[in-house]
Amino acid sequence: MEEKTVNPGNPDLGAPSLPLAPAHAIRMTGDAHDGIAMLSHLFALAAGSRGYHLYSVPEYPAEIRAHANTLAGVHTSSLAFAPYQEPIDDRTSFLLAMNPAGLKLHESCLEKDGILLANSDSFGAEELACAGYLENPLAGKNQLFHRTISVPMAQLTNHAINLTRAGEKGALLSYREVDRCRNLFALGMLLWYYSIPIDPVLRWLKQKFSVNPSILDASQKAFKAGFIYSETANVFPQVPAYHPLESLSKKGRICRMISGNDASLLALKHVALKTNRPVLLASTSRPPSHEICSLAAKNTGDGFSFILADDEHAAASIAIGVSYGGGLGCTAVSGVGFPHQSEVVSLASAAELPLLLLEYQRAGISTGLPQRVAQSDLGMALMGRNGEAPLVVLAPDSPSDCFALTLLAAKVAMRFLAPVCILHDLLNSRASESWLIPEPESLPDFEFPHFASDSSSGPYECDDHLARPWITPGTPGKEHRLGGNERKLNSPQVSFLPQDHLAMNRHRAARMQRIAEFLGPLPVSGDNGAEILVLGWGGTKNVLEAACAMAKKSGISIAFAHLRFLNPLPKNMEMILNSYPKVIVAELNSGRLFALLKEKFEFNGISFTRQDGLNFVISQVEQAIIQFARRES
Amino acid sequence: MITHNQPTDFASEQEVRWCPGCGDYAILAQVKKMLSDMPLLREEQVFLSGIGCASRMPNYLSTYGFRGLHGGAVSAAMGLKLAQPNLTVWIVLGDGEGFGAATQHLLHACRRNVDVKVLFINNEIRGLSRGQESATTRPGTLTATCPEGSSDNPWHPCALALAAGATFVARSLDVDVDHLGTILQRASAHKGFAFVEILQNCKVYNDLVFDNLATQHDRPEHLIYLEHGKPMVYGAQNRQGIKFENASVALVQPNHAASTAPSIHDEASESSFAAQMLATLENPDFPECIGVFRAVTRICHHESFYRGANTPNPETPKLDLEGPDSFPVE
Repeated sequence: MEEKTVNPGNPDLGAPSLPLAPAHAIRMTGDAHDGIAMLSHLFALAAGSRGYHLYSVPEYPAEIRAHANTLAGVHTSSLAFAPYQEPIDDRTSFLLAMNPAGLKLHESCLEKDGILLANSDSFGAEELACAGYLENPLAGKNQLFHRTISVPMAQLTNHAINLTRAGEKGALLSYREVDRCRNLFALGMLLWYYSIPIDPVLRWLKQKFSVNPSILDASQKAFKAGFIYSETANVFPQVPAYHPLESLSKKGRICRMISGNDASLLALKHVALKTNRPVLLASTSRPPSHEICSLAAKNTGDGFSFILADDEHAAASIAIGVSYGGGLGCTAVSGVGFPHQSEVVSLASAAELPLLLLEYQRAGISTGLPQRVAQSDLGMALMGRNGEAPLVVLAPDSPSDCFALTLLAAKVAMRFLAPVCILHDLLNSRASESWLIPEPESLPDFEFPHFASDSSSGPYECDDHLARPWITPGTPGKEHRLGGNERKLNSPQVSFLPQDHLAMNRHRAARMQRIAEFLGPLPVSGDNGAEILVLGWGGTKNVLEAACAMAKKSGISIAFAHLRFLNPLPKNMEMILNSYPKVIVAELNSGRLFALLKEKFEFNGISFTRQDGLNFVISQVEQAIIQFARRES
Repeated sequence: MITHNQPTDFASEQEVRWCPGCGDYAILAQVKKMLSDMPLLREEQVFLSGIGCASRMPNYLSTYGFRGLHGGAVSAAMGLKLAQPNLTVWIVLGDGEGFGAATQHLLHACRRNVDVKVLFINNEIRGLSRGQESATTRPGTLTATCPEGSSDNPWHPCALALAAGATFVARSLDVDVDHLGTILQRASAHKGFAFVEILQNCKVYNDLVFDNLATQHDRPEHLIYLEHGKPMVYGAQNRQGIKFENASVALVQPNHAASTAPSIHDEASESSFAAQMLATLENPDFPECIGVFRAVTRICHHESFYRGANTPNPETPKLDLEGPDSFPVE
């Protein structure tokens, strides 16, 4: 079979490329008051300005206020930067440990020849005991890594800032305020090591602390001190020779680090502006969906609004009320809150109303592990309703894809008057990456013929998309009744007759096929006539893509596809599966997608899964690909 | 503009299918009459409901209607009101649903003063599930699931709505059509959350449960018609009354002495405490009250919701994709 028929949408994708220069993976870890999130954010800002592509994943402790310096209170940010989009692996070449507990949790991830940069001021007897170290791991016979750089960051920060000693009479800052600048000292060291200009950080600090000159002054001093100290004290063993590539053609363009949650919100606000219809997010606060709630509450206006509902059923019901009123009702949900909303999804299917579910997957059953990654709700999204109530299910493949995919989801929901679920995972919702800001004119429009309230069609007569006109209350002369009861096709008449029920089931299924056509085919990248296809979905895309590139180096002829549309499946799904002798379906659950594909299609494939609350590791996927490719079938 | 000023203008194409003798027929007739009497456009009236006998009502009205989930109508109405604040939104709930699956949503809507009108049709039984007890079924009632008689304490719907902060709470009777019509009109005119309990007879599963109130001859002896600013009296020639005394209610026989003077009903009282006491009075120890327990004005939910950060700002509709942390690639 010719490649172009397998890959009709993307003829130029080519093989997954190996980066010309390897990616750098940095892990920053410390206690709650070490400011790890800010450190990571500012590093990304500075490196992004230099043209690097960045991808970062934060990890928070489940405890809100863990005891200081305990393992339970460790905050971590994993960050990869490279000329190309790069995944976070579980190995890192640079570990910044602001306290012993952070080191304890992440020591196994640092490569043997990796650099450990530690704030030695936090490695006292008490802190070491809290982390479970009997001896100091930074020096002496128990030193863990031979490239350990031990720096008394708190003392050096204090010296750099204090012309007048903190806390004493006449001092402008407290001990605590000075102490909290030590993350900026560490940032200065990191930027020097990676040859990244410091100006973007200085600009950011100036903007952020413009109302507090004392803090601004202290921050700048601490930051510059870290940068200068690295040079004058000659602390690093070597300077890495990684530089961004000019060929990225980003120069002069505006970038930002964007999390999946930020991207989703921007998309919802765009829909409100473009449609001039209210877009309302109604949600409860169940981790990790609570993160987008807090963001949404700060970003209302221009037709977008947010309400914190009192339970998941209420949230989804408020959303469907908004949609009935002519807006786009959205709800964000996680874990066991999802089944609470199942009946509202069924109602949206029956009444033919748009409904957008932003579903945030987490590991575990019941309360589970809300801060761990898993693709745990595919089964619920695909099957979790009574009867034959269809739900469109989409999944973004990266943080920035949350923008494009949320726009697409809203478009499907409003065009087809159907419920749509976006399955997020922590790898694409909480994580951030560099995003080349799109030109406004490239964003999609939202004008559909069935928006017109003066349509001559009755409220139940379907158009060629099998969607009924979206006639909303307040429209004179079009009064009608909607609801969850079965009815006659193209009619308001409630009907319990078998033939009407059958006709409606077929109608809903046929509409899903129209949606599949609307969404388009699945693109495949890779070798013509490849011997093996790797298929994934959700936030694992960059890891799987990198694993494919590594396996290709071993001489495996390989193709890669990543599903963004899980229901309805792309129309070329069967053709793609049949085009390769071997298929690996990789997902962070027990193999739900694999089981679904096996049920629907015949193909020679295996399921590669991970279910411990962590992301795939590139090398493990690579090994699985190589083993399967070499296995006699 | 098409005017709809006859009750028949508000009848839908659907055939009405309640049991013969069901009190819902009278309620439906009064709703249609109220709609035709009010200066309201038909397209701006929306009736929402869930599942239950009473919940069929939106299907029988020619307004906009949405018959959704068991327990979901209150929150859906809240969303609808946020999407289109100009609509007049009605919710029809039976006691099985209203104080079953919808309880939490209902109580939160009370506290938020969502501008919707709830018709709480109370026959103290779940009719659609063939005579099972609800949260308002009185002890001793024989039901399909309590063959030896219900043993749980019931809720007093109006008292609960008052305690939850509802700004308009009233009670009426299906058979007292004039009174019901008046109450419906007042609910319609109220700005904010209106809760109207309508005592309704279920001919099949709980017949005559309100017989003491429904029989016209006995009604004066068992009922107080609450009227704002007037003494709370009842019985032949108003020879009996009630009085608030020591945080409770006492029966009095007015005889011109100050100590026997009945209390004056104040539906506009800031506190709902007295109204809650009135809403819990029951035969045979006390007369039961119908009329408006409480009618006060508060800011509505959609008004406070759109007053803050959610305010639409159509003058500068610009999407800021860059945000505060964007940077040029240098």
